[in-house]
Amino acid sequence: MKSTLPSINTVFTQLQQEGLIENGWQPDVRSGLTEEIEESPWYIRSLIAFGAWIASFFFLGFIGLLGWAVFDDLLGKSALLVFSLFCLVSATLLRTKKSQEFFAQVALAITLAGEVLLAIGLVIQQNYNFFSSNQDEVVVLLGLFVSQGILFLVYPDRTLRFLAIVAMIGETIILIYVNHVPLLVHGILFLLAIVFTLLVLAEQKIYSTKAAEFFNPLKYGILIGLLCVMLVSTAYILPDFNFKNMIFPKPWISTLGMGGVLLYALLRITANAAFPVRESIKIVALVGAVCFILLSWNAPGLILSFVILLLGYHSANRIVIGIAITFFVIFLTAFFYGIEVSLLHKSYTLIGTGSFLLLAWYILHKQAGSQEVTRHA
Amino acid sequence: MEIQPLENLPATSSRVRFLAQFLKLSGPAFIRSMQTAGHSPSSDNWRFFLERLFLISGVSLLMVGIMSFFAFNWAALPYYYKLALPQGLMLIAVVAAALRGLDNPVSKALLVIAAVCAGIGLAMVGQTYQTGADPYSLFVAWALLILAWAIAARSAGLWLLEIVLINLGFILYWAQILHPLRWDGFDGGSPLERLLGQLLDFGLAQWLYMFNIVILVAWEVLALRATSWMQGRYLPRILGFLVLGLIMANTVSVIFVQHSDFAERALLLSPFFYLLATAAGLWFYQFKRRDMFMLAILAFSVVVVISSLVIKLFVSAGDAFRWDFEGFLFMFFFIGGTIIGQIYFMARWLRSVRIKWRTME
Repeated sequence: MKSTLPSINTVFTQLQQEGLIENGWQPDVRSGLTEEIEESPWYIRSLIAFGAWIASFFFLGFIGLLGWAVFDDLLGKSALLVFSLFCLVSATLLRTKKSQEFFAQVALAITLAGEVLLAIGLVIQQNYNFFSSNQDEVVVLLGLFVSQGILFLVYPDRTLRFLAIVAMIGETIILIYVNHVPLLVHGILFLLAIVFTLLVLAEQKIYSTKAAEFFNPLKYGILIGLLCVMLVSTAYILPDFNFKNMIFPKPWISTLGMGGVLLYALLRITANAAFPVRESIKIVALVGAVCFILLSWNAPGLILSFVILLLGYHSANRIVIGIAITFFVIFLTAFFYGIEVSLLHKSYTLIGTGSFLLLAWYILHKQAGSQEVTRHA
Repeated sequence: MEIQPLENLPATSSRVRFLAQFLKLSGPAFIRSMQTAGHSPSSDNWRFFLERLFLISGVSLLMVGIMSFFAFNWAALPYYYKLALPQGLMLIAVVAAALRGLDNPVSKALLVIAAVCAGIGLAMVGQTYQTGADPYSLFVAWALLILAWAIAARSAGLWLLEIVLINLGFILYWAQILHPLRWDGFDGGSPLERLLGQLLDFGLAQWLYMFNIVILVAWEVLALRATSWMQGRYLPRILGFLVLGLIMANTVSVIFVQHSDFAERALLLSPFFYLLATAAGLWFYQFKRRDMFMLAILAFSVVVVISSLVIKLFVSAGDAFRWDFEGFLFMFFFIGGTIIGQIYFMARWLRSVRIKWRTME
């Protein structure tokens, strides 16, 4: 992409000349730019969310004690449950009615506190049986899952929507483990990866629809959830408990899943009219991708980082590219420390994949060099 | 709010994307706007991107693979192979880089390979001859060996490796030579756990932040003098994050923990250093080198320190007055409110700085 960018005026004048937007677009673009200036970068939004999360612990103490005192006599063991729902509804109303930053943060902290109260309330509702049987956990997790799903739809805040998606993915994974079906983790990973890919590829169709406001929180929530679940495949944590096979039973299933997503993404990207590629090059790229998948047999995270990098570059999204690079480094470190494969096997995987990528680089580099020579001739 | 003339505003990808969402542009209009702004990669863009991707990821995987291979310490592999392989690879990489000239990404990647192989070679020497030398000397020797390459290559990546090695060398020297008793406490864990455990030693943290702050200041000063290869922001941001984390942890420890022993009393200087570093950072990154990320983490650290002070005050008051139910209610409400209030002011201030920068663009 270009190093010197055209102006906003140039871009929209071009759209107008091609009949893609109507005349008189300037006031709308100006008000859009006023909104854009108000937008905080992702790291400031993350810090705000983190601050609200810390504050929510204290609000949790406050509203928890208050709710208990006020409703306990009246409602018995349902007190916290009712009070948590009251908190969630009032925070949603506050956020809907008041868009100012201060109220947004107060509402966010109350919502997070409300979610924790809801979890405690659901546990208490199960006759104080703190995780004594599967049934308790399932009810609690499903309750949280549903409440977060509703919040995602009705709570008009990107940060909370993002957190809701990440939490829902976490709850799904815990549900899988408490029900002793760990193999499903591979299915969930595949599902998340394919949904993320489809969302990125469908970006241009979504902005003109009513679903546009849900798009970014959904996309980034799925991406972060997907990466967290993939990190489980390194299974370094808790080696003493010998969880390695229970947590991520057969990494190669995920390798196949991620490989499928990589091939699909490659086909979709190369089918793009703006990216003219000869059929022969397409076939070489696909064969190369298959070799890469086979070489990364025990390390599905490597394939996933490539999928995200390609999609990030395709959609010119620097945040997605940054997340992919960070994940690549974290996965590589975790894989190095991981316990499920011997160091010798890891070295085969890594040296093989690394050498293959360097070979791909060399071929691409030589080909570019020969094209340059032909052009000059 | 005053917006600049549209002719002056560059069509960055995030801006075009935001406007597309705000104006509910149709699919074809969004695609065309990205193409016009130059954000739809062409064949040449893709080739350049893939070349970089394959080179950087290939080198990274190869390096970690080689490290895994030697870490396995394969008994069947004769010791002279163990010694010759990393050193041979290092030699080949350095010669190839020298022949290509150092001002290109391939040579810089080759020097990173050489730097990693140098460390593996040193580790192999230690493993083969069992000299009994302390592990800190491995990192110090490694850092010294690659220093000349870091200077010659003018690569932020190699400098990052150099800084990491010096920090590791110092942490191990502190733990094994200066305070061996504290080091013994971490014997049971993995190397990573032992390393993280060391960072809980606030005396060590104090030296680490002082060292890294010097590096950060030197980097920023040289970058201001338009040293072209130092213009990237990832290295100073990593350093800034590390320095701020350490100095803030020490300051919070002074707030919450009674430091009685003489060495620990030196920690009482941490809040002073923290104030100094934060004030200097807020000024520098606002007026000299605009960096919103640095301002954001500095502002957030202020929120953490003030909140810690408020919590400490309430805890002390609670000890003194033996609070009842209403007292606890008030405490929870007040602390939560204080944090939200500070976050609100932090967000507002950062937004005002951003708007000021935008109008000055």
